[in-house]
Amino acid sequence: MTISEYRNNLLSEINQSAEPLDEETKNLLALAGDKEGIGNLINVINDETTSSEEKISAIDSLNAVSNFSPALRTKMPEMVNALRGQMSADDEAIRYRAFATLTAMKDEVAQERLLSELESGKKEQDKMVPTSMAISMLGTDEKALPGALLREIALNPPDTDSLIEAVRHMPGDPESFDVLKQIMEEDENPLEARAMIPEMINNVDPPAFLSAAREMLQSKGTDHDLAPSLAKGIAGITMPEAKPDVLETKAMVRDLMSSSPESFKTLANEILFEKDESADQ
Amino acid sequence: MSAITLEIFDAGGPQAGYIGWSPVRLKISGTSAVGSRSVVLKSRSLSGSVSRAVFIERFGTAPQDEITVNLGPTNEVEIFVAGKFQPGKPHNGASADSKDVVVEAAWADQPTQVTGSLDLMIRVRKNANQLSEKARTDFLNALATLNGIKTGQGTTPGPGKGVYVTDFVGMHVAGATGNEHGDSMFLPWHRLYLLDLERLLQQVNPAVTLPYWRFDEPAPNLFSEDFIGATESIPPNSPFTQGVSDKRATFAATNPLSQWKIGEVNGISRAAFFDTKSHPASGQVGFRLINQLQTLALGGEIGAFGAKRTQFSAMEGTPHGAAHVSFNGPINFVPEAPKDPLFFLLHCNVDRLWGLWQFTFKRDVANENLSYPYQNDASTPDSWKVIHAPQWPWEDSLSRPGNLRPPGVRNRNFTQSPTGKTIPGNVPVIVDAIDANGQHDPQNYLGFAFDDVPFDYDRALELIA
Repeated sequence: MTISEYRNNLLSEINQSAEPLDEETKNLLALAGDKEGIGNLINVINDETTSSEEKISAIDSLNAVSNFSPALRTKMPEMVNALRGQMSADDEAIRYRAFATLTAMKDEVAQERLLSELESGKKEQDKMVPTSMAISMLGTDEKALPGALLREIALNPPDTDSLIEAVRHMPGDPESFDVLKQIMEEDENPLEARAMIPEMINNVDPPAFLSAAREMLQSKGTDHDLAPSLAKGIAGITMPEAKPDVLETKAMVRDLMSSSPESFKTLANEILFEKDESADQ
Repeated sequence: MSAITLEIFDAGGPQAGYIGWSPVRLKISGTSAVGSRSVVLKSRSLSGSVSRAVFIERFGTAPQDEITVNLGPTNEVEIFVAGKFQPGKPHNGASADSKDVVVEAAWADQPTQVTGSLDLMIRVRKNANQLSEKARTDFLNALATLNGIKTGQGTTPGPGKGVYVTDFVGMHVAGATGNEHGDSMFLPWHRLYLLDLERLLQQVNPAVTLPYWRFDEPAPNLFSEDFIGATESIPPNSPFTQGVSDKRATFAATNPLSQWKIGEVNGISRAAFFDTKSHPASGQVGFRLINQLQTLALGGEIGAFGAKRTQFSAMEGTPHGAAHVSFNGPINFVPEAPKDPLFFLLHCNVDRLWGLWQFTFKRDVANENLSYPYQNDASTPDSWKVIHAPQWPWEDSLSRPGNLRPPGVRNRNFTQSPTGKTIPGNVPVIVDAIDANGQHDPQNYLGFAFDDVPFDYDRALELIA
């Protein structure tokens, strides 16, 4: 087939098979450049008499075009105000959308509302937004979530997802070390949370992490679900002063290799055992 | 028998020998002991490969599977070589994951005695759902390295601290959306953005290219724990939560993306409004994702982003925007989207669709309005959208509308590569992105290609004539 034939085939397919854009999609594309249309949707959100479905449709349409609409950018302050007005909506579908859009824009009013509720001790079912979702929303702004609050939630999470989100967003710093190490060592905690922790703490207190890693690998084995993450944590230590501890830990891992599953052996060889052993000396 | 030397255009260094569909220079030199100056060139696929090369005597002439050239009195000659586009073969004849084509040279009077050879990879961007295990692993390791994740030997800044985060997440933010979205510069700006990242990936491993997510087809191999992450599906009427999800992509322990971090935040939150194992991306209710043919059927004019949204520029809305909002999570919100590496595979497909449109409608002529509408200062009040305008963040300027400085080290630092056009001053302009295949001038070739967008030799012949 020549290149011209390839092109002609493509043109033929386009002409024969392509369906036209449906009306809904055309309308949404047109909305992206329509300041008046955008203004009308903002009015729908503000209007107390419009139904939940109408409000949801308006918010979703605005969110859909926000990724490519220069017209919406000019109406953003009005949209923010309208969404702030929906943070207390009875309909959780509206509330979630309002908070998500506002926190994605790092709106301080929305951030403050969510934070104060997380700190309030309110029952989970009474919250405007579930804890796990609130953490995720606030997490779009790296400055919005205090480490102390995340530690508190991680130690007393209302549910598994909240624990995972709290660990996901927790800084790997000295203040968080003990909480993270505790969560890592407790098998009843979800693996998704535990697996993140070795990398988070390995450079905060390398000897303490390495001691914990050695203890866990020896007592639980290299076929334990956390073993690969522990290996990655060991590999990720960069502090020169930790080198003797790293070497000791690597030696221990090497001793365990003969009884390790193939997947662990492959990973450990790739990231722990350098080709040039003299680099470890 | 004297040796024949073959030097590819990017000769020297670890990045030599990577070609696409576009003709690139090949120098042949040597001195025959018996005085013959004619050399026969052909290509051979390695075992298990279908890839072949073609030879072009002069730019603008037809490609040949085998060629005889005369070295002349200087004992050297320069021709062109390119990957052979073979529709219907795996990846249309591109290399799967490594150098699998050998160009062999012999003196014409002893054509069976190979005295010179050159290993090549026909390196193109491929469908992510069809990658070999090696290609996938190579890509993930290179991407993870740029995140700061340790994937082998060598040191890294640590997960979440690499150039991917400081620079590539840092440049696609709300404060720069005026430079990047909402008008015809959307496509060329993102082409340059992807190329900057891809060239850095190739510094880690030269065999790597950005894969594309063919979002109008099911991609179960892509949405798996071994690749971009197994992604939970949620009902289509679930609340659309901009920038966030209460679910996270899950990864195999051996997948380097299991350590993905952006700053201090671990993991990737993502949930899909469609079944990622069996369906294409859905868009949203009332905002459907259009397929490839519908996208090309938007027509042969690029248009401007005004009333004429049914022209090709409308593709920024759908399928591009619709693909983004097929999920909950950072991927669905422009300022957050690159935090999810799926972003680059999504945009690689957007770029492929543009490339396919350029090929189909012959829209790679830089000075034609049909290819790009803002040809001069009179065509738009926004100077950064004009075809010769240097682009933020590589240009030392402030972004629009947020007046942001270039993030990380991107200022005057577009990644250069020996396999493609050198960008003058490390600051790209929009016109650099228009003739990316080097259709009009081989010097325009940017060093990337797609598996299904060929170089058009027939047009090259027309243009030279």
